[in-house]
Amino acid sequence: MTKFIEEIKRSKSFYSLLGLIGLIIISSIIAPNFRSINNMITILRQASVLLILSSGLTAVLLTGGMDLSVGATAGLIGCICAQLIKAGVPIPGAFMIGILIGAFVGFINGTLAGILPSFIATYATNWVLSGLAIIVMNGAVIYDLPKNFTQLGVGYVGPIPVLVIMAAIIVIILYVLLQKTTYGRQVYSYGSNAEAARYSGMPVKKIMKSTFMICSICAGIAGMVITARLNAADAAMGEAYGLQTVAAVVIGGTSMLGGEGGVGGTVIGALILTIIVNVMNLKGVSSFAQPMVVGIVIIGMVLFDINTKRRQEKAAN
Amino acid sequence: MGKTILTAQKITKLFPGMKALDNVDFDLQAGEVHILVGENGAGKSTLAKVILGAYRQEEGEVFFEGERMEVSGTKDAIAKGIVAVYQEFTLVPYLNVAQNIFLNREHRTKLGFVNHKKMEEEAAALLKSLNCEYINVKSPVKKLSVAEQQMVEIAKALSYKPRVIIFDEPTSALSEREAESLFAQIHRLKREGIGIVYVSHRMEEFPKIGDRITVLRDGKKISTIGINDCSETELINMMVGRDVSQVYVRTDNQHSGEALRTENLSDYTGKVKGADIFVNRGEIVGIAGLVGSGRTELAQLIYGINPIKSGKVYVDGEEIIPKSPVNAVKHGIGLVSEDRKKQGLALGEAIALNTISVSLKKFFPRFFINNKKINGIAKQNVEQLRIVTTSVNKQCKYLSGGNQQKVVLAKWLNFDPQIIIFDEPTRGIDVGAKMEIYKLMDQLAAKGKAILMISSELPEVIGMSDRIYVMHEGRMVEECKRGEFTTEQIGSKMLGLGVGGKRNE
Amino acid sequence: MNSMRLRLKALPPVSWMLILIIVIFSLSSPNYLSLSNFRNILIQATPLMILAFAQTCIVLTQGTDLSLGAQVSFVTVMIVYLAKRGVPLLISMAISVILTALIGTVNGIIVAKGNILPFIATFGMQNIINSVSLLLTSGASIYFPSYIYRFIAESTFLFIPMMVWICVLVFIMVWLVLRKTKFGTNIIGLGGNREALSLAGISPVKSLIKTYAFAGFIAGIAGIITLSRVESGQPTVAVGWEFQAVAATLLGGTSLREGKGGVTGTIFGVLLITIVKNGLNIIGVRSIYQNAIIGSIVLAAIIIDAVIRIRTKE
Repeated sequence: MTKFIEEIKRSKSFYSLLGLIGLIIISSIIAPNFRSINNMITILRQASVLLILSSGLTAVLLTGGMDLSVGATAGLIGCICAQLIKAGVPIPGAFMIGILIGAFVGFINGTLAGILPSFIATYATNWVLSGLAIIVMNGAVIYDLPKNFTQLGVGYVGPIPVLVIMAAIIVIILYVLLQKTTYGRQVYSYGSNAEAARYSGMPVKKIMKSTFMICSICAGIAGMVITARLNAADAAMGEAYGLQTVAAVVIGGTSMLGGEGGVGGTVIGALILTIIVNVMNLKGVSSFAQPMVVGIVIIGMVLFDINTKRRQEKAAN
Repeated sequence: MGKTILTAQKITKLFPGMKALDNVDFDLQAGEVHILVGENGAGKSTLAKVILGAYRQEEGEVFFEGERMEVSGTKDAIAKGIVAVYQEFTLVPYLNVAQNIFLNREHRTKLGFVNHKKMEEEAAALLKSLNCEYINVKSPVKKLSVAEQQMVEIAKALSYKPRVIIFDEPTSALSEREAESLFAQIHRLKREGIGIVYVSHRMEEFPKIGDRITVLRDGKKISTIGINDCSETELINMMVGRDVSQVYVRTDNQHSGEALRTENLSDYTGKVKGADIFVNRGEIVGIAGLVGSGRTELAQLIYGINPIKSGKVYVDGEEIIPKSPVNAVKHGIGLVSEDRKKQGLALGEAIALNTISVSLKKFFPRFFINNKKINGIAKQNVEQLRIVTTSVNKQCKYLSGGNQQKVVLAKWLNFDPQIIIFDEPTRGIDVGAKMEIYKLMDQLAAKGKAILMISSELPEVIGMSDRIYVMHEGRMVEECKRGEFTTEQIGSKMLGLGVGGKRNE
Repeated sequence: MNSMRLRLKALPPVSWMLILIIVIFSLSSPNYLSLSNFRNILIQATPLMILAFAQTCIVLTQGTDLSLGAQVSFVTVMIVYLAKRGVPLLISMAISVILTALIGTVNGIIVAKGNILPFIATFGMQNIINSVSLLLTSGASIYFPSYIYRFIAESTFLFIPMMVWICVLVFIMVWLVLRKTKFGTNIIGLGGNREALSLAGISPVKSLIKTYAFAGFIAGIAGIITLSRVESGQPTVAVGWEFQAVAATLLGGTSLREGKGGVTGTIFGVLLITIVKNGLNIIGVRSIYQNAIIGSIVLAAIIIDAVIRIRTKE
């Protein structure tokens, strides 16, 4: 039993989980309307898009890479999907095309990341992709999408929003893929020491590229979901998610250096972030202050991560 | 010979899982060259780093000119006049030679700017005194050859006007001529009354420069003797610690058929120039050669790390094109690489996960993994190889060098390749683990595996190999069978010399 | 003759791309190759140029400062904010530059003492600064006219606008720092071999903090120039500039490894980006296409450059 507790303590998500519990208690005290069932469901719904995005990004971070283009990818694919549906393409067809484009964007990102540091490459593709979104929308906004489509974003199955179910399915798929398969093992090995993974005969380039593809596919799905929820598409709608996605993964305890962390932690990270934003909204804090809070949390979390790692190493020596 | 300027008393230094130094005494006199020898992992470099203040010893004291040294970091040691010339270069690649020599001691103009002209003049003078006037002081060190960088490193050390210089394997990258001019400088420094600690394992150099030798083994001091008071064989026996025939155990076994052959193999860097070798099943083949002779690069070509420029590789008589390690592994080739921390292990991952990293698909062909099975495999490895650890879930970074190397071996044993290349398999590990690794290599050969071993340690190559290739400047210059060679012969071949000390062409 | 050829070979690939792009644009539009357009390009390039000099210093240390663009926007906002409250404009400018130097110091402390990846630390900082700028202006841009802007942006000396001269001065300053001071030596050492610095008794932590502070200081100057052109405090005026500055630096031959490169090549990188932007306007490409095209060209240029470098190494 003590061994079990030790094990949990050693995993970095443990601190994130403590943080989440603490945050829920504090939030319930400072914002009384936080506790209502309605607000809880709102939080889950708000968290859904972030969960989809950040679970995908987790795969990239586990390899020690970074994708700063998730926001633009989501925006672009959401826009394309909306245009297709408006043009009369059946919804499942539009959805499939969105996923394929996501895979393609990820392939490009992954290929570029083999040439340039990944954060530089994806910062550049972010620029290109958001430019493409403007072209796709021809500078305008689309609204009034068919009800069948918007149900994805606003519909319910019983008391549970469709959105939450979708997010849960994606999270579970990624969790199993990364934790329980040989592919997942390769991702972790690559992340903890890419050179050693190569010397162990792993197809390192394929592994790296595939994580970027997973990430961009998730971004694509998130983009379509955002469009469905807003019942509108706008070239800039993904922008705000870029930072939050990185933050959710990092808060969840996935190391920027690769090889450590996982989707489980990311779920906690996404929930923490959503609750912070939710409480700030409930308390009427200006939305301009949100990036500041998220920025501080990112830096604080990374500092905390590095320092606990150092302390552990010292203790072990 | 002058008075004693440096004394180290009863030094003990601990590393995770091992005693790197155990109660070691050492002293240095003004105007002498004191050689430190020992096998890999004997504690030579550790002792040098304790004297320099780069490591803090757990027990014992260092005295410099009669005063107890209280240094924290090399800065203090330099201030007292103790400097080192390291194996790994401490130069900034895109600063020029003069800037590097005077790093943090720049001459300034009246306006406070760096006075490049004065620094360059002084640097040129220093290099001239080392017979290296051909090195351009305005050139970024990145553009210099490794040997030239080594000379800049030495010039930098001299510019501190030191009382004690520690040389850590200074000739490992130098050509014959450059090594001779280094020795001439060392003689000059001796005459000026400077004390020199010389860490090396190239025995042929010792009589040329040394006064006394201290032999270390497993972190313990074995003996300090005058250079003329012992023979090379005695030295080797002291280093190895027992009769060489007991350390290197080889069973006679049948060699059956050729497993690996290279024909005229060359790479793009020019380090390997037309290498021809072959290895039979059941045979251990050693490659001896200096650092930089192309040994590691050859292994990397066969294993698909670097692209082949020309030449062919055959496995079991069929040509293969090792485009990547993925490819090499598919053809049953394994590589125990030179640098286990960078290339061998994911240090942050558990032992168990490292042991299956090559054989994921072999153990789990159906995509999904099973942690119980992984742990079971790793537990077997731990027992079989006697890896010292509390659990198979321990991260590899907390293991000693020897145990880490055993995890690398476990990784390959689980995969069971037909051809295994060992590149410096015993670097930085203690004698006990070494002997176990030798025994394992012997067992593998007995099972019919083809083994190619690369090593800088001549006793190891000679002790373990059925056949030896000597590599010099990218080519095989000699091939000889077990029992046909002596240390001296191979040593001179490694330097590119013929039997009579003449250069081989 | 031979040395001439060697020199041509030593030019970074960006100079060839630059020539190619100029040829393409001058073929597409007859009034492209005019003196007034040349002047225009210089003016347009100036703020990014100064910012890219700052970024070059950071890249030399193997880092990237993603908060530099946000620092420029912040300076425009802060100066106007203070000036509106009665602080003399020149003093507001001085205060703002000091503030960005301080922000740089904080960046440096987080990166050096916290030992975390520069891009993530400065990415966080970028968002913090943007928040502050947005809060100070409630998201709007605030107009504040002054004759000082005219002096910087419009008055000329030898037919060249004052701000271009300021840019030249900043260039000389950064060049002198990198080539002729101990601090510059340390910056190159930080990227090349930190171990060597420590062994020589230089604290890498302190040097790194100084470098980030220096970059913040230069970003402050870029902010003043930007304000003089737009005459208002705009919280989002320099969005994405930090990345254009990284791109220009890489194109100019400064490497993210080993402390290789310098500030001279960066000039070519900035000119390339500016000429692309300017050319697209002149040949009349619709504005909705411009972001994607500029982004693609810059991305392509970085990739071609990186691939050429990888190839020539082999």
